[in-house]
Amino acid sequence: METDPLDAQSALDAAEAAERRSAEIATSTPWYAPWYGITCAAVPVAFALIACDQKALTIAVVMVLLASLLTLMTTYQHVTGVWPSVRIAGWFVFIEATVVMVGAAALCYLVASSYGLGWWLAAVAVATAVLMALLSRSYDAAIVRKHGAR
Amino acid sequence: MTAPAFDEIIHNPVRLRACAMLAVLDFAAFPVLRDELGVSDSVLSKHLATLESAGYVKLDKATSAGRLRTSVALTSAGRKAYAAHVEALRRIVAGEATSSQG
Repeated sequence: METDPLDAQSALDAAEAAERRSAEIATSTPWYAPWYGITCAAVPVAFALIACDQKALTIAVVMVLLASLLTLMTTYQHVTGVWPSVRIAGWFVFIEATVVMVGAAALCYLVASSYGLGWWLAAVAVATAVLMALLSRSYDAAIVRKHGAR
Repeated sequence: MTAPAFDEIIHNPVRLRACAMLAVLDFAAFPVLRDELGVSDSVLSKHLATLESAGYVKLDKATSAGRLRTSVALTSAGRKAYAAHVEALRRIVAGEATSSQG
């Protein structure tokens, strides 16, 4: 290695600046988290509908869920031109999201099986949307923290 | 911890910044890289071809709405080589700091 230390320092600075810029681009969509949260809220609703044997409504909710998710991902990629790496933010974010989604879906299925549909479903859907939006923001925060963006 | 390994292929300023940007991402669209690095299409293509031939990046070309869209991603080997190169740079800088104190 015959690289001059000053050259090495400027190369390191350039690399860090480029990583920071990537993190800025990847987290530059404030609309992503609420959209994602609302989309995720459809999952526990679908499970409640399954428990109540509402087949047509379940299919409609699942179709809306898939269409929303696909549109969200396409729009994000179209606007930013990038897709952030999962390994940067850490798998813990996805474990937390899985726990929230499985918990909400199981809760909705069990309550709907026993008591049918009701106001509680709206409350669980709103709570799921808020939690998933917050988790999405924490994913962004993890990327920013790691690369010192903003 | 990543073992340091200075990499002449990555050390080129354009290629280093391209690898740094891609290290944070699963992939980036070609125009995003071009604009952020401030180079022309042909210059970026040349540098990406060098990285691709070293096995450091993967280029995916897809046609969407009648237009060819190219996305670029670091390969596993590319991520390792970039991390090792950055570590080597850190060692060089740290070495200078040590010698200047003595």
